[in-house]
Amino acid sequence: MKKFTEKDWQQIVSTLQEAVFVCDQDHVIRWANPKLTELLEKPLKEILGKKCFHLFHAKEEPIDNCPFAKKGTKKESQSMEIWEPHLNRHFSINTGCFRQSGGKAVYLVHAVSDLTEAKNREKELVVRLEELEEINKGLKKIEQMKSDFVSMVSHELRTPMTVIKEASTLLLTRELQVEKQKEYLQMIGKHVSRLNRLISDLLDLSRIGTGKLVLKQEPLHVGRLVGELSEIIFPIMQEKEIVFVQSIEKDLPLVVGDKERFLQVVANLIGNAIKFTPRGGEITLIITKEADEIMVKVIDTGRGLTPEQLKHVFDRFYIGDEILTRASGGTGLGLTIAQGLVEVMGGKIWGMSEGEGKGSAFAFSLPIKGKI
Amino acid sequence: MAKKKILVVDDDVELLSIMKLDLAFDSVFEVIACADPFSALEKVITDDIALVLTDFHMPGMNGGELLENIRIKKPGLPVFLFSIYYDDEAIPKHVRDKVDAIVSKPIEHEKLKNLILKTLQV
Repeated sequence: MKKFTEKDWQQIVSTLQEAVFVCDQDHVIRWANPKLTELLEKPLKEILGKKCFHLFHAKEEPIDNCPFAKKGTKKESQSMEIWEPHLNRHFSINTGCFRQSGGKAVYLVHAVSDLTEAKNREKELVVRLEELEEINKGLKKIEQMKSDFVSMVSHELRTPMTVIKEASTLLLTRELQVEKQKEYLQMIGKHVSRLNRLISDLLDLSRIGTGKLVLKQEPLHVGRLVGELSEIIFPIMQEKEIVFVQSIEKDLPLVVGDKERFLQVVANLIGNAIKFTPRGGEITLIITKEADEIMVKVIDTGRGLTPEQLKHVFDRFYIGDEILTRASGGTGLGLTIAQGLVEVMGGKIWGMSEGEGKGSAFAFSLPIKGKI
Repeated sequence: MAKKKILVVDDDVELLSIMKLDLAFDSVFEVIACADPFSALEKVITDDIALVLTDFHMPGMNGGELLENIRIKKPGLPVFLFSIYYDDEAIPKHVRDKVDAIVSKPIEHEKLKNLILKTLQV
């Protein structure tokens, strides 16, 4: 078999994917294959004769884990991975000791692989993995919310249904006096209305959630519109002996929007205030023009909200006090729907309270030039 | 012979009135209705109650807590628990283990009445 010539060896080493170079004990690069010129983006003449720690590590002296760092080191081989910030590259360096036959000269042969792309992909994968974990967490949260929602809806459905079932059973199976019969029929009617409200609220939530809510575009006198709510609001307020104060700025600009949906938001906020304001309390409605917005604020002298309750007050079926919600006949969706409607209208809604027992205020703003 | 007294506890006053009327209809029991669990506990101590029917979800003191208090004040007094959530997860196991019966809402009245009669051995 023919022996390889020096030229053959040069060609063999040149075909390697790794950059290969040889240093002497003084760290001077004595030989390098063309791949190293690619890696360092320098011609061979700027590489040969240079100290490897200058070129590779941008240091003035050998790095600590260089096998020739200390005189008399007897390490025969080593592998390391190193990040070189000045080159913005990540290398894997395998080093072996080479002794010339018969001679005392010792050289270090380095095979360098550029891991930068692989490391970048690895980093990218870690980022993707973190993103996937976040998405997974979000999905689990949605799943939990869905489950809680179904549980709350079934509770809200069953409560009135139980009364309807019990009252109708009594009417069917017992001979009751006319007054009692009337009382139970009214009870049934009241709870059928409650079920109807719940279904309407659920449909609204669904339309808002899926972006299928269609808003009308009509000119609105916001200040005058509120008067249309008095028929619904006043009897409930009178029953609870609540004082209703209105402060509506004169000459409010005309805005374009959906009258019914605007009134629904105001009614939900006032309804919420009525729900949590004790007998003899006070509810104030303020409508003002603030810069290029219309601001509607409903203030009550009710039981107020803790900072924790404020955080969740727009959540579906958020019930600070389950029993109070039940007693007030609310569906627990009013504020959630109000938030959804205001946002669809391009506005903002928020709640405020100085704490328990100190009343609360809910306000929303709508752009004057936007659609209402 | 004096009628046995049944104490019905539910914060939902409408359901309470229906249950009172229904359970008292046959005039077999005397039905005392109570919307507040704290007042109910007072009645358990002061009145000669033969059986308690209580809702689970109530303000201040739930049906499980009322049951615990009844067990301390009047051990042996039968307590039935009714709940809209009649499933294993909604009522804690320690409550399910101690209660004499769990009755789901809507209530099957004849079944409930028979269960009360059997428990009281009327």
